[in-house]
Formats: sequence, structure tokens, C-alpha cells
Amino acid sequence: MLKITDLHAYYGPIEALKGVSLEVGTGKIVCLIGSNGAGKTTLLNSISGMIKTTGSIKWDDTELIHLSCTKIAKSGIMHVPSGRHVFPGLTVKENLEVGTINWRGPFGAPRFKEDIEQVYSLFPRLKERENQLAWSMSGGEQQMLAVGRALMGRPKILLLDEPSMGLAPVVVAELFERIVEINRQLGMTILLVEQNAKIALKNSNYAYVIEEGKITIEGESASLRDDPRIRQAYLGKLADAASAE
Amino acid sequence: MKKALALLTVAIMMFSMVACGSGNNGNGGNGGSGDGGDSSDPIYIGVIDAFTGDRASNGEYSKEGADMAMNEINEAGGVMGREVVLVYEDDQGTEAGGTNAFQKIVSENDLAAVCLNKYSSMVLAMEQFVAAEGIPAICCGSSVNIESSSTPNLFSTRKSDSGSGVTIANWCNELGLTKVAILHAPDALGTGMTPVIEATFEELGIEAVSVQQFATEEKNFAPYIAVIADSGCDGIIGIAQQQEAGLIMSAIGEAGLGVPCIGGSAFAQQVAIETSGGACDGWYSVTAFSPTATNEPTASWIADYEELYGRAPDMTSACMYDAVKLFCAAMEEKQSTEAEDIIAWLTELDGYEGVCSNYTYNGTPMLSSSEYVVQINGTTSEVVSRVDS
Amino acid sequence: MYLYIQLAITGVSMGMLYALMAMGLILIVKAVGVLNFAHGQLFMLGSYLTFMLTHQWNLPLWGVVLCGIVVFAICGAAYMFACYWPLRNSPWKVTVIISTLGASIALEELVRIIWGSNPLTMKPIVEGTLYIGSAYLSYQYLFIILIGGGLMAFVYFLFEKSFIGKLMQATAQDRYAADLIGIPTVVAIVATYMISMCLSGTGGWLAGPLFLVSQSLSSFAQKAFAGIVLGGFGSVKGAIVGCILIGLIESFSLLITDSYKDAIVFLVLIIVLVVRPTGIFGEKIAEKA
Repeated sequence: MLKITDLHAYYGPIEALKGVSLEVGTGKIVCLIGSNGAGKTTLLNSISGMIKTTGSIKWDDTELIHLSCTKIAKSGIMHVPSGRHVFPGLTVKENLEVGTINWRGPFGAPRFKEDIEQVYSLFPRLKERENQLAWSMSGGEQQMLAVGRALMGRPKILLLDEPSMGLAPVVVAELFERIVEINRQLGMTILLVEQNAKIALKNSNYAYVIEEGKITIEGESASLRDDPRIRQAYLGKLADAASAE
Repeated sequence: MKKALALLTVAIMMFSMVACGSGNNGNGGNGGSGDGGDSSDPIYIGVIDAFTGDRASNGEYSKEGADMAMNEINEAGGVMGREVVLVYEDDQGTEAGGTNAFQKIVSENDLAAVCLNKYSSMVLAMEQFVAAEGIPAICCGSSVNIESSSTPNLFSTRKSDSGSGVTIANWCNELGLTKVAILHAPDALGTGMTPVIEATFEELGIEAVSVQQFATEEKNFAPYIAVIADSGCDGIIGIAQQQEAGLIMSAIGEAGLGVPCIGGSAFAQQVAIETSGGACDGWYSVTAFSPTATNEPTASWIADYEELYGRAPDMTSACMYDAVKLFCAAMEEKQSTEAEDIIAWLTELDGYEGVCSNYTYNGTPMLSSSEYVVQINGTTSEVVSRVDS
Repeated sequence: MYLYIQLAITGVSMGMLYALMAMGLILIVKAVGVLNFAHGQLFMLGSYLTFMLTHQWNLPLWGVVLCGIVVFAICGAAYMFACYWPLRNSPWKVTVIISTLGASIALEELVRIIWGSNPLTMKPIVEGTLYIGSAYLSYQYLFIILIGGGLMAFVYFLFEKSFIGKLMQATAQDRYAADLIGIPTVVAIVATYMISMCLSGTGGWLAGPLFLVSQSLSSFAQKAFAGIVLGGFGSVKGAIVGCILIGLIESFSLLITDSYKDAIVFLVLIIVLVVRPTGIFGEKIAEKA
């Protein structure tokens, strides 16, 4: 279980997170929704050890707050960044292979065949494009690759940062279907950060809403879907946008 | 605001890097005390040479020779009872550096005279400033352009390249060569001497089968040698400064051509011999100075120099030594530090025995009237012939 | 006829020297995304350091090789921590470039303080010359081709085929993502610098006996850079081919002109770039959203 208590995060003198507390139960999908600049990516960067923070981030009983990002990854926390960030000059297979650094030595001793087979079974499209350079793939394929790469590191929890960003609705639907499958098949704990509140609430167990660095609303995803505050602020806009298309 | 501050800092750093580069390497400027003033004030003579950059090895020899002369003079009571002090300025081995150094040294100090180095291109670049300043200047460059200079206060302790070029061409004739390849430097030395050699060849009936000019700061001579090998020559002439001279001799040795080779003065200098890795053996060189000269007063001076510095002198050391001594002799005999008196004395020179050469004024800035043809034997050169004009 | 063979031989050997430097330069470009303006000085430093090992410490050949690798690795790491690490998070990329400019000056003068300004002679690995008909090749050039080729093969194997190579490539392509998946990026970057220094340093070791150990060795970087641009910026394979071409052009341009040899090289470079701006093997890696 991931437990965050009173987390403050700073970009220089600017306080981006002002005392955030949240929990991700083992095996659950928890989503964090909010608009641009609310602090979603900052939260994930805090967990994965990329920025300066105070407070407490506990994975089971391990305190993560002062660990280096490499150690945090080794503890089983895998952050899939927004914008995919696949390694453009490596092939799909190579992208997946480097993901294994988390548990393999630098000389690549233990085999990773089973891990890659598992990723291919979840994302058959990746197997088709095994030897293709990552930069030439479509946005959706790159997103699948980024998630697959994270899975290769044998994580215990996945942090997904805006996986739907820049993708067509059909692709987003397929992607989230896969994400749910990962949770179901592997029992993977997932913290999902999204701007697309509709799809996030549809595919998660519990939800938090973040505004200007603070958690303002939390609850079961099912009930938040009908919450008038959410409909107003996040779903309303999306409903309008959907009808305008 | 932060960005502007950073840019300003970078600009300041860059300007100070340029300024520091032409740093003062010597005894520091004086407070502007006049020449003909207080009789206990020192007399300042400037020395401009490379103390950093590619040619810094030259500066080391310069300093040794000049310091030696200065100390001898001061131990004997100085000039007119006054101490002689040398002021050094670094020209960084570039022409721009040279002109900067000259302007800096004359503006910061009250100099009686200035000694310049052997790189004719640099001396020529400085010429207009030397002329404007009117200060007596002795260099050790040998370019024909210095010989034809009309600047009345510029002199050289060398014979000109045209004279040396004639000597080289005549030596080819002595050796019985008929088809000669020439490889020369792109500077004033190379471009000045080569036409003279070609002209003399025409008179002597020798054919110049290949004439190549190599690029500035060239290090890879193998392609040029390949072209020479292809030309069917029976002798090779090389004209270059010391480092290139060493590399040229090395490259020719590698090609195993087995023909007589004659080089300009730099080929018999220490740096060239050392860097040729043994390939210099057998090379002839027409040179103003040889560290194995046996004539007096040169031989004694060489022995004293070796005892003082632990290594043999080269031409630059000898020329700088002579330049300082010439200036001091001029001032002592004329009992004056005025420029016109020093210049007048120099134009009256007739058979002054220096350690590098015999000096006589013949209407041109070139004061020297003697040269040696040496042959390199292992790591030293032996005088084969002494040529006087 | 032999003239052409001779020119080709010297051209290829010079090209291999430039290629060794170029490979080191490209690795740093790929690792941190900045052009290392002190690269020529690292080449020169390699020459002086191996001079120290062979002529001052008098080590036998195997000693020079072993110590050389260790010394180069230390220098590479030191250089990285001095010039790049303190500025790695700076918002202006130009600060690292200026830092390397400063390093170039500092390295040249440091070398001058320690070893003096006179050029030093270094004995070749094996003295002597190989004669084939009337064409000749000094053994040192042969070594350049062999050792250079060996190192290139090693770098190719390391970067294209091995796991470590892929980790280093990943770090170079996207450091943020590399950090997130657990690659020790500091180690990867230091390793890249160490390998780069080994390549340039070895080039300096091979070049010293031929061109004298002196501060002016740093000017070789110009031709290496030309080779990189000619072959396609960012491609190791392109750098090698480009540099060998530059070596050949340099050599054969003597048939047309003598003193404008260098100008011909850069003229060809300009023509190639006008016709094919990405260089011979240039590839553009675009990142899709």
C-alpha cells in the first residue's frame, strides 16, 4: 500500500504541493484528477524521487522520501511519465529490454524472456513492431511501449501520468482496457493521474481531486461520477466538448 | 535581468581572457622615469618574443641569451654607470600578439631600445609601429622585406634570405645536383627565399622539378614527400621553421629517398634536430649560427652559455645576446640613450665581432655579413664552410 | 601509380586518427547534448600522458596500455565532473559550451606548465617502415589503422549490441525517463566520458610519435569535426566514414594544390552540405508526441 502524508513539494521557492495526503490500497486503481498546473505531475515526481519534498511517502513500511530515484525504482515504484518519453533511437524490443535494469545487473545476466512475453501478450501491437525504432511509432503505440517498459522492471505499483494525453478517443479506450487488464491479471497497484476525468473515474476504484496543490475532494470513483461538483468542474466541460465535436 | 547579468559576466570573462593572454612576462614597467634623466636610473631595453603559444620555446632561448648579456654588462658596471634592465613582453607567437605587445611595451615603459625576434612576418607586421615610435629596434629576422625596408630605426643581426638563398643554390651546384625539389613554408621566410633560389638555379642551369608550399601549422608531411618522391629529383631543399623542419626531415628519412638534402637555418637548430628523431643525419644547413662553431669569440661564448644554462644555445640566444650588447655598446660609446645617437652608431658599424656574426653596416638593415654551411652529424652539426660576403 | 597508392595510404591512416577523435566527440554529444570544445585538448592531453608513461615512467608496452586505460578513465571522469556536472541543470545549454571553452584553454596551459612548450619526441610503438614496391608505410601508421579499427569495432559492439551500451544510449536519449526506470544515469554519463577520453587519448598516443607531442596537436579536432559533419552529425558510423574521407581528400588535394590543401577539405565539406545537409549518413530522429 502507498501512503502519502502531508506532502509538501517545492520548485525552488515555489510550493507546488501544500500538504497532500492520499492512499493507494494494494491491488487497487486509484485516480487523481485535476486541471493543468494543479500539481498532478508534481505529485508523481515526488513519489519517484525527482524533486525536493518534505512529509512522508510510505510504500508498505519503507519510507521513500529521502531515497534516490534509482533506489525508489528498485523498491518497485515505476513512474510512466507524461508525454511517453520512450527512447527514440532504440527499437521497441530494446526499449523493453532496458526496462529490466531495475532487477538485472548491468551485464544483463538473468534472462528476461518471460517478462517480455508477458508484455507482448498484453500489447500484441508491440510484438508486431518489435524491431521498429520507437520514434516512428504512433502516439498510442508509444504509450503502450512506455507502460510495457515500466512493467519490464517488475514493479509493485505503477504511476501513470496522463496516459490519454494527445491520443484519439478510440485509442484511449483501448489503452484503458489494457490498464484495467494489467490490474486484474497481475494484481498491479496503480495510481493514475489524469486530466480526462471521465475515463479516469470510469476505470478506477477510488479517486482524489487536486486543485492548486491541495486535495479538495476524495471518494469512491462510482459515487464521484454523480457528484455535482465534479460534473460541474470536470465532466461538464468534457460533456460540452463532446457535444461540440 | 538574470540573463543580462550572466551575459555581461561572460563578456567580461572573455575580454579579460584576451587581455591576460598578452600578459607581461617580465620585470614590470617602470614608473616612466626618463632616459636622459637621473644618472642613477636604470636603462630599459625591451625584448618581445613568444612566451606562450606555439613558439614559446623560442622565447626561452631569447630570454637566456638576453639575460646573459644584461648580467655581463651590469657586472662590468652597466652603461654609463647605470644598470641595464630588460623588460619582456609576450607576443604569443602571433602577428596580432606581436603588434599588441609592441604597443603595450612602449606605452608602459620608457625604453631606450627594443629587441625583436626572428619571425620576419611578425617583425614586418610591427614595422609601421616601430617606425612611428622611432625607437631603435634590432630583430633577427632574415626576410628580403626587412632588407628592403626604409624604416631607419629597424635593424637585423642576420643576413637576408636572398643572400642565404644564393648560398643554398650555390651549394646545390657544389654538390653536383641538377634536378632539385623544393618544399617551403608559407611564411615570409619560405616565400621570400624560394624565388631567389629559383632565379639562381636558372643562372646555374639547375632544374627545380617540384616546388611545393605547405599549409600553415602543417604536421603531416607524408603526402608532400610522396609527391617529391614521384618527381625524380636528385636533391631536396627544405625551408621551414624549427618544428616543421624536424617533421620534414623525419618524413623524408622515412621515405628512404637517399638524396642530398639542404635546409634553411632552422634545420640545424636544436629543436629541429631533436624532433627529427635521427633522420637529420647528413642534412646540410645554411645557418647564421651553429652551436658547434669553433671560431672566436663564438666558441668561448657557447661554453659559457652551456655552463650557465645546461644546454647549448641556438641562433636566437646568440642574436639576442648580440642585440643587447650592440645597444649597450652604442649607448656607452655615444654616452647617450637618445634614439638618434644609437641609430647613428649602428649605421657606422664596421667589423664589430659579435658571437653570432661579424657586423657591418652596408646601407640596408641587415647588419650581418657571414654565414655557415653546416652538415648534421648525429645530433650536432659541423661547420663545412663559412661564407662571407 | 605508386603515388596514388602512397597518397591513399597516408590518407586512410590520417582518417583513422581523425575518426578516433570523432568517435569520442560524438559520444559526448550523444551523452549530454553539447559539443565539447576541449576535445582537441583531450587528444593532446592523451599524447602527453602516454609520453609520461612511456618516456618518463619507462613502462613496457603492456604497462602503458593498462596504466593508460586507468589514467584516461580518471581524466575522463575528472573532466566530466569539472566541466559538465556543476552546470548540468542550467537552463542555458550555452553555459556547458563555455565551460568546455575554458577547459580547452586551461588544459593547454596546464600541459605547458608541466611539460614545457618545446615539442617532445616519442618513440613509435615499433620503429621502422614497411615497403611495398616503392610505396612505404611506417609501422606506426599500420598500428593506427589496426588499433583504430579495433577500437571502432569495440565501440560498435559496446553500443549497438551490449546491454550496457543500450543503457548508455537510453541515458543519452532521454535522461528523465532513464532515471525513472532505474538506470544509474550518473554512472552512465561518467562511463561515456571515460570511453570518450580513452578513444581520444589513444589517438593522441598513436599520433605523438608521428607529429610530435606538442600543444598544437589540439588542432586535429578541426578535421575530426569536419569528418563528423560530412558523415552525418550524430552517427558514429557516419563519423568514421566521414573522417576517412576527409583524410583521403586532404591527401589527394595535394595533386591540385599545395598550400590550399586545408581549404579544399572545407570546400568539399561545404559542397556536400549544400547538396545533402544531413551529411552522408545523416538521420533525423524525430520525437512524436
